[in-house]
This record gives sequence, structure tokens and C-alpha cells, in this order.
Amino acid sequence: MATLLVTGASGMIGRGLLDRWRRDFEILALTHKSPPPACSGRVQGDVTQPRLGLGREDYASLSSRVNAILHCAALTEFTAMREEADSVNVRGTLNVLAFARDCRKLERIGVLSTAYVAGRRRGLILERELEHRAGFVNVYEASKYRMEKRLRQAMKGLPIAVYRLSTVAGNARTGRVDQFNALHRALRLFYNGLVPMLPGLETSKIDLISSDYAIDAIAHLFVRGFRAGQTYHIVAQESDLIPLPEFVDLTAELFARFDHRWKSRAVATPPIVPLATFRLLERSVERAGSPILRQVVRATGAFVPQLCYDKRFDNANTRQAVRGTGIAPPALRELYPAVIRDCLRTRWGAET
Amino acid sequence: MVESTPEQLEHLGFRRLFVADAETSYDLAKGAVRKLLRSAAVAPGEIDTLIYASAIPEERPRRGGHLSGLFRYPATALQYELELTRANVIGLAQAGCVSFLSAIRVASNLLVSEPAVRRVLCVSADALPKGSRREVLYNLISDGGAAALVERDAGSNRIVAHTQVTKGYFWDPKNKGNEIVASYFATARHVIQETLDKAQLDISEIAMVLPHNVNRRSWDILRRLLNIPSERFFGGNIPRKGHTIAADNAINLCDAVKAGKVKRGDYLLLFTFGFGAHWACTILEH
Repeated sequence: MATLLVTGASGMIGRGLLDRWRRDFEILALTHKSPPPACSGRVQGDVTQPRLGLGREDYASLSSRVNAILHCAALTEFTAMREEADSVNVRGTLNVLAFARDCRKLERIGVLSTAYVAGRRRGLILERELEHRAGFVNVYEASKYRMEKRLRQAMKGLPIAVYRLSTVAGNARTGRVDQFNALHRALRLFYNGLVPMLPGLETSKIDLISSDYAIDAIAHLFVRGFRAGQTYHIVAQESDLIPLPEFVDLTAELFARFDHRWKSRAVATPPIVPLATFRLLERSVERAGSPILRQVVRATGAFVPQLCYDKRFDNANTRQAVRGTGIAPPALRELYPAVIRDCLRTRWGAET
Repeated sequence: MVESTPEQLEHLGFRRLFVADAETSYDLAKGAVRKLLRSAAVAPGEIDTLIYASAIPEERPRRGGHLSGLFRYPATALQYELELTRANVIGLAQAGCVSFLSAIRVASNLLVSEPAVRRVLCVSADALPKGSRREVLYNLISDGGAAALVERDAGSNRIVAHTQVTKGYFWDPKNKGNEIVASYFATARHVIQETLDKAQLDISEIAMVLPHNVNRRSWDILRRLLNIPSERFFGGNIPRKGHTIAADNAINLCDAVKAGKVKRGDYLLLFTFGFGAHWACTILEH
């Protein structure tokens, strides 16, 4: 049985993949936390440290055993400092790559990334494309971009595949939100009537995927469909993308449907505004606003401006690779109501 | 009186503040009505209805704690003192900064529903209690009042359309301040657009926007949301006069006319927001 080292095993995607692979691999989780139950073993380490924070003997022993690496560990906070984000997303990845070079029996490396390495680019984004000068909306996108540039360089000598995800909304099979992220936090602000406006374009489209689709796709792409040197967009189907104005109205409709009191509060649907208008609000709130409004505007400003850069992610590689497997993104109009219902049921993750 | 620094107030667009030292809101109302009757050359006896609007209850001492002291109304006192002998009186309260526009709306509807009513006098005046702090939700409050005559076949300022939206969820500004700010722009845009639709006008056909004198930053944002260019926005009174609760739109109308900024036939848009919470917009044809 091949030995798989997983970083970031306690994250939503990592956990899901381990459950899927427990019979296929001997799974070792590199973690500084408790490992998920599906693991065969735990390696106490830290990707941000040279030699993954391992002692000489442990490092040698591990590198002699590992056949495959799935690198999921990442700092996904949009408002992190560049230094913090790079220490995990860039240096952490370089440490994993250095380790990979020392693995004599290594067959494959899979790395999780984000479709938003495209940053402020507009239009059709191809999977093979990376480098651009359009800039980024937040530190997370920028650090993942720098990570991918290093991965592209390393692809010359290592069998690497990159999996770029769009935004994971919830699990289509269970109708539950497995992990609350920036999307859910923004929806919560909307629910609480605290979003004054949304920076975006009327033509922008919302790209959400389900965790089970992401896990199914990566599980296939990393095992049976593995192809070194490839990058895959794991994103919504084009026919499933929801235009931003429709998405805002649908969200309000779902809040009202699942919480009758919400309707009586007459929360205003936030207007979709050009980035310059949002920046004006941001400056005003930063200078004179209450601490809560400052938090709201900072949280919104950290990623929602991505909606000002209308783009669509081509996923030809992924479609080609999963053809005939039955793996396909769920219909967003079916997934999204379940996500909203679960957010309200669990009070945004406070209750399970 | 103010907690913010002059720099902070300047950032919000405020430079001056008017405080009624010796006068009460009743005195301000009386002064506005006298001035109006004089300038319109209308005799007090020609007023059919008086609508007296105030956002803040008048502080009037109750003599000896007698229960009847609760019923000493400034509206009827004004009717008596200014000899508006034919006018029946309506008091309009609890509408915050939309009090004046609400009074105009009620007056306009009275003219439609009661053919015998030909002339309605609307007055709105507010003075904060003595020693009050003057800042609330990023605004600087001045004391002030305004009066208007709403009459049939008037020669100017025809009321073209009016919209008011009330959202009771925000009734408590002390505890709902953040939500009010968050809801403000979307609802303001909706109310203004609805009024434009009723008037069958596009925002580009509005010759001048006569604002409530709230902080300049919020108007900068709202202007962008509605595509109102700065030359069609009468914002100069924000630094000069501050926010007089409900009288701003009327004061700005008078000052815009005096400054020659509006001409006959111009469409004017008056917008205000009041705690309660109410958003109101009126379009006039000057």
C-alpha cells in the first residue's frame, strides 16, 4: 500500500479526502493538531519550518516511506498580513517541495490552490494560465499566486498537479455547511442587516461549488486521473453561475423563506456599486464609523471587490479528466437554499 | 456640547452650529410662521389648517405637577398667539427629521380630500434640550425651524410626487445605529427612485437636490449611487448651518432661491431621513 503524506488534514477538503482514501493509502497527517480519525498515523510537524519541523531521524524515515503528498495546508484568511500568509502559503509550500525532493519513492504531489490566483484579471481564465500583472484583491490571492509560481518552477523536476477551487458553499449530499468561511461570514452580515453596499458589477457571476464535488474531483484527479504538470479548475458549471443581482435577491428571498421574522425587519438589499463608491464608504467608515461598521466594511472589502472583476474560469482539463466518472458539480440553485437553511439552523455554525 | 475634534467635524462636512440659547422650539416656530405670513402677504385669518410638526417634545414646565399641565400644546398656543383664528390644528410628532416633509404631505392630501380647505400652514421647529450634546450618528445638530404655505393653485413649488418609507425595526437608534447606517443608502436610493418614477422623471431632469444637512460623506456616497452631479446638489448649507432636524430641506429651498440657483419650472428633489426610522422624498416643480 502506498504511503500518502497529507498536510492540512484537518481542513474540510483534507478530512473528506482522508475518509475517501482510508483503504487505498497508508495515510500520514503532518499536523501540529490532533489528526483526523481516518489517518494511519500522525507526524508532529509544521510546514512553516525547515525540514517540516521534523528531527533528522524522523525526517529521514518519513522521506524514505512517502510515495505521495497532498498539500492542503494554507492560511486562508483574506485579511492576514502578507508575512503571515506567505509563511504558510509560500514558504510552507517550498518546505513541502524540499521534502518532496528528498523522497526517493515519490510518485505524485497534489497541491490545493484557489481559482482566484487570477486576482483582478477579467474575462476567461484558462487553467494553464498563471502569470499576470492585474494585481490582487487580497493577500490570500497574492500569496497563493506566489505559491503557484514556485510550483510551476518546481514542476520541471517534480510530479506536481495543482487543484484550483472556487468558493466552497456547503455539502450537496448532506445539505450541510461543513466549514464556515468568508462567504458564510458575509452572508451573516447581510442577514444581520449590516451590509451597506456590495462592490461589484451587475454582470458578475457567482461561482460556488459543493465540498463533496470538490472532494470527488480531487480524489479522482489525484489517484486515477493524475497527470503531472497539470492545473485544474474545480469550479461551477458555466450554466450554473448566478448573476450577482440575482444572487443578492435570491439570498434575501431565502432568508425570508426560512426565517419569517427576517422579513418583518425589512432589511434593505445592499446596492451593487462600483468599487470607487465602495472605497468612499470604506474611507468614511474608517475615519468616522463605529468599530462594528469598521469590521463589517473591512470584512466585506477583503474579498467582495473580486466581484468588480468579471471573470469566468474555464475548466476544460477537469471536464476532460472526469469524463465518464459521473463526477459533476451539483446544481447551484439546489445547493444554495440548503446552505442558507443550514446557516440559519445552526446559527451560522454556533450550534450543530 | 461636541465630542469630536474640529478636524473630525470638518471631515464630516460641518463647520458651524446654531444653538437657540434663549429661544424654545416654540419661539423658533413662531418666528418662522410670522416671517412666512409677512412674506406671503397672507392674513392669519386666511389659514384653514395649521400643521405643527416637531420631532422632539417641547419642554414645558407642569405647573404644580397638575395633570392638565400635560395637555399644554404648543400647536394650539401658536394658533391663539398668532391669531390663526379659522385654522383647525393638527399636531404631527414622532417623525424625526421627516416631520416637515410629512407635514407637507398631509397638507397636500388635505387639499385633495377636503375641498373647503384652501390654505394649510405647515411649521416644523426643534431645539435640543439645553446643554444637550449636539452629535448624533455622525451628524451635528443645530436648532432651527421652517414654515411653508400649502395652497391650491399656488404660483410656485407645485408638489409633483412624494414617497415615504418607514421601517419600524430601526425604531431605537441608540441600539440600532449600525443597522441604520447599513440600511440607509439602499433605502434612500429606493425611496428617491420611487419618487422619480411617480413623477415620471429621470434623475438627470432634476435641476437641484435640496438635501437634509447630514454629514457630507454620506451625501457623497448617495450622490454617486444616484448619479447626482455636484453642481446640482445644494450642499453648501451643511458646513454653514448644520442639521436642523426637520427644517433643512425648507431652509435649503429658500437659500437656493435667494442664491438664484433655481428658476421657474425647475424640478427640485427634497430628501430626508429621520429616526423612527423614516425615509422621505418630495419632488417640487418650482
